Amino acid sequence: MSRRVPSDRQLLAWLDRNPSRLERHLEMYPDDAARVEVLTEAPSLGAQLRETLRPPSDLLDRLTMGARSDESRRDATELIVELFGTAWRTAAVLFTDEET
Amino acid sequence: MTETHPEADVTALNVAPSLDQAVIELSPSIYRVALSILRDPALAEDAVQETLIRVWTNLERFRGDAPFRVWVLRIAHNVSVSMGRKRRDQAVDPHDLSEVKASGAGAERTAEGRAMVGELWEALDQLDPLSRAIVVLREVELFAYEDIASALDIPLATVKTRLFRARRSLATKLETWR
Repeated sequence: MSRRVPSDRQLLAWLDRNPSRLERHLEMYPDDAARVEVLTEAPSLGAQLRETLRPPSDLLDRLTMGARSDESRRDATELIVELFGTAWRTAAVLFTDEET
Repeated sequence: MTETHPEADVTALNVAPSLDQAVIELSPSIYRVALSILRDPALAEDAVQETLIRVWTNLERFRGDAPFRVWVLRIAHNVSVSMGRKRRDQAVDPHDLSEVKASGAGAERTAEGRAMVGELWEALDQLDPLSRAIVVLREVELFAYEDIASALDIPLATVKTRLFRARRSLATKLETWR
């Protein structure tokens, strides 16, 4: 049995005004998700989100200090500081590379 | 068939050269997920610390049925949602956070960069926390849809619908930066 294939306009109308309808449709016809994917592509979104949510360059130092000053959970935080001490120094170099 | 993000490095999702190193290298990802949910850099840092502690103390529970990164960011999401609930219970006015958003890495940005970030934050504020997490996991962390569904424990169709709506919403803001 053939099905009536919704137009691009119909898919976007569901997306904007009736998302639960689109969700039900995608559950039945998952291949149509690829069409909506193309229709909603935003090529620069990832880069701009990455910039918007960029961690501070001294994140690791701040985490280390935060863990050391957390008196309420001394055992757990000391464990973290000890175990990750070396790794954090290595990672700091990696993060610096990532940010530049 | 698994739908991977076109830019995703599949090996990076599954291979942990050394566990502590892998966890630490995931810290920026944990921070981004936490910040997207909590919208507060200071709280996001707390969420990273709490996530690292939980990852380490629950390591024996990691069964390897999902990539390590997915497991870690699932914990990060749960920690962030929990912290967000606590903050809400303490009745903090979300509008008080508008200036906090500009902190974190804000001081390291150019004026134009700060303006773009401010605009995008406004657009992100229009989304619910779940949609923000989805869009970050897909567009920034390059997760496959199935991994997002696994990390957030929601149906695949929900992931897709929320992501597509979030893209439509955010793209409107991004138009002004082209």
